[in-house]
Parts: sequence; C-alpha cells; structure tokens
Amino acid sequence: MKFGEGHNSGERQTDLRGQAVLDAMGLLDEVESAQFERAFRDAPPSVQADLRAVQAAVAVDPAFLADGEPSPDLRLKTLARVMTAVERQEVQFAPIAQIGRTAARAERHSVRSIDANELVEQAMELSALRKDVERFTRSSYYWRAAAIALTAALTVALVFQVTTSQLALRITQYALGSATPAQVFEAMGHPGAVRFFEKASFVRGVAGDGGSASIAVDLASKKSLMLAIGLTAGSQYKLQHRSDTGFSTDLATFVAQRGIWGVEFEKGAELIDTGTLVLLDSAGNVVMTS
Amino acid sequence: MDPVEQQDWLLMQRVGHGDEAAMSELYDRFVGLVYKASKQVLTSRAEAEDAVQESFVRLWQTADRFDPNRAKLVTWVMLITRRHLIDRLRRKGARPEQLGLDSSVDFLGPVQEVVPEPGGDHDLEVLRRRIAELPELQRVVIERTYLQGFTLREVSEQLGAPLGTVKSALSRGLGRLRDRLASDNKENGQDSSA
Repeated sequence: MKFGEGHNSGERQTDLRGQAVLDAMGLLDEVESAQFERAFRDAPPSVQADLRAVQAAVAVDPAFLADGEPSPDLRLKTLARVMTAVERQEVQFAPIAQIGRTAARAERHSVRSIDANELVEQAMELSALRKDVERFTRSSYYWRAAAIALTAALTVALVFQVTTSQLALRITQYALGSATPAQVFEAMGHPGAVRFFEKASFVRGVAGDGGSASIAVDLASKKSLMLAIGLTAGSQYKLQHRSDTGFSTDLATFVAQRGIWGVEFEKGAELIDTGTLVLLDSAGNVVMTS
Repeated sequence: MDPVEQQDWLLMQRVGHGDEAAMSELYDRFVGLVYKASKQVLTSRAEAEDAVQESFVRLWQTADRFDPNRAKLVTWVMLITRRHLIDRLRRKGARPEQLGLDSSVDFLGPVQEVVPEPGGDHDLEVLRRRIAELPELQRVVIERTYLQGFTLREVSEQLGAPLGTVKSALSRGLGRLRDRLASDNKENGQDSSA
C-alpha cells in the first residue's frame, strides 16, 4: 500500500510523526533511522513538509533544553578546536608531489572507494620496477588476493603521505617480490589471513601517520579481518565506524602485540563500506582513518 | 529550495571546506541550543562546554551531508549534537549487560541524593525528577535512552519487551515530558510576573 492510500493513512502519518520525533532526538539506531529515511523519501511532499516542521519544533523544544548560556570564552575555544581538526586533516591527506601520476590520481579519486585493480596498478607504479609488474601479472590467484590486500593498505598509506616505516617497506617488498602469500601474512602476524583475504567480499583501507590497515570483509559469514601496520606493541586500539549522519559504532577493540597485527571480528560487516572508519588509540585519538 | 534553505546549504558547504568565517556564523546561530541540549544531560558546565566543542567539530565533519530538502538546518545541528551526546553518555556510563525493569533506579542512584554543583547539574537533576514522575515503563525507557545512551534495541533486549512497545513508551514519555515542562514554564512565568 502506498502512503496516503486506504483507510490507515492517518495512522501511518501519526506513526511517522512519532518516528520523526525520535529521529530528531537522535534516539533511533542506525537501522531504524535508515528505515525512517526511506519512509520520508517515499512520503508525499505535504507529509515531508509536515515531518520537517515536526522535527524542527522538537529541535528547539524547551522541554529538552536546559537554561543558561555558555561562557563567553567558549566561542574562541570552539573555533580553535574546529580549525585545529581542519588543519590536521589537511596535513594528513596532502598528496605526495613526488609520486607524480599517483598523486594526481589520488587527488581525483576518493579514498572511500578504493578500486583494487587501480591500487594494484598504483603499487606497480610505486615500485617502478618493470620486472615486478611482470611477476605480478603471472602470479597465482592466491598470490594476487594477498597482494591486493596488502597494496590496498600500503598504497593508501603511501599515496596520502604517511610515514613509510622500514617495516612497511619490507612488507611492500614481500608483496611485490618473491615471497609467498603465507610468508607475507606470517610476517604480519596472521598466517591464516591468506584464505580470509582470498574469499573477502571487499577490502577497505585506513591510514594515518606511520601506519595503515586493510579491513577485509566476508559478507557471507559477516566476519571481517583487519591487518594493520605501524601499531605500537602493547597498546590498545579500537576500530570504529562513523556514519555520515553522526552515528558511531565500535567494531573491534584489541591489544596489538606487535607493530603489525591482525584482528578478526564479527560486528558491522554491513557498515564497513559506508561512512568513515577510524582506528582510535586508548586515549580516543584517531590514529588512522579512511 | 527557498532562499533561506539555499543560504543554509551554502553556509554548510563553506563549513565543510573549513571556512572559519562560516564556522563562526554557525556557532553564533546555534551555540545557545547546542549548549542547552548538552547542559541538560551532562553533569557539569565544563563537560557541557566540552561537548559543545566536539559537536561543532562533528558539524564540520558532516557538513557535506546536510540536505535542506530533508531537514532544516536547526534540525540537522541538533541531531548531530544529540547523537554526539548519546555517544558521550555511552562512553562514560557503566553499562550493565542485563538490566531488568527494577534495576534502573539503583543503577542511577536515588534522585534525592544527587547534590548539584554550583551552576552544575541542577538542570539534570530537575530533568531526572520530572522523568521520575512518569509511568514506570516510560521512565525506564527514557532514563536508559536519553540519559544513558542505550539504543532502543538494547533497552528492548534488557526489558524483554518488543521493540515497538519500547518505542511507543519512549514516544509517550517524551510527549508527557514536553507537556509537563511546558506547563511548569507557564506556571513559573505566572509566578515571576506576580
């Protein structure tokens, strides 16, 4: 039944108004919020206008606002905090001028949508060794899957100007050299990852100063595997998904036993290719982001 | 898009690009609301002001997602703010895995024992007293969602109640709070003018 048809359209609108209130208060979870968004889109313009008005009224309803005004100095503090965050992001994602064609490609394409084949090509450009290209194209399926996974992480890191540690360079050599996939993942501390990356539905990368990670997702089993480089051994980290509308979902919390570490988790497989992924340290600072 | 909506959209586009003047304008327009929303659910002025700062960072981060065809700018600003507040409550609060209907009062502590700091959590205390007057299910659902940051699904699981029931209780409870607070404000207005 389409909205507005039949005898229960009034009830439907009342229900939507109730949902609109909860949505405006931030009290719907991500699934329910998505359902409400769909219902809003499907509603006639007059209903949409009504729902917008309902939500605007809730936003300023004094029932859910305290009295009082903020300190006068809060203005400067807030602007400073925002502009610091802006500047930090600009520095973090400045493309490397020296990489040339790769940098130009990075400027044209969003990090959020990483095409595996394109990343492989970028890795080849970075290596600047023709024999590596030839070796790659002759490689087996297993090897190709492992290499794609590694280059997804490493190329994100390299293209977007993060520090390439000696260890990360060594991994690059493994990926584009003669090591077997098992050896590559063994070096990363997760020998079983070969098969996981082989059957992954997709891979997404995050990067930050001195580190990067690939998250492989198997939508069939709803399991994910993150392999990260550049961690601090003994430190706790949290992988978090942040939706475009402000929801935060913790996906995995772990302690990195080595600088290169992997963790499997079962939460949020359907979220990983949306929004923003961030890796937080124990203080809640973002150390890597997508 | 009407001219006001267009201006708001342009403002948010500039905010998203890190334009300080645009962020200043956004702050000046909405800081009052953002602060008051934060102050109502957080325990101190300092915490509320920290939440304000974080909310405006989030507004910058999500600026390109603002769609004036979907919501007015005030709705968007307050939605981002309220979701951030819920995240804060979830991060800071103890979150027992299984809470039955009887557990919430013990978990939050008796309302009367909270000693508000000067200029501190008086607003939160007032809110909690009003929530305490609601019917039990409405009270529990509002406490756990609005004050503790549990999702509706989590509360549904905690109480062993259908999600629809929990959602209805939340809607009715919020409606009662709005009616009650509007009535209180009206009385106060009459008293102060006497």
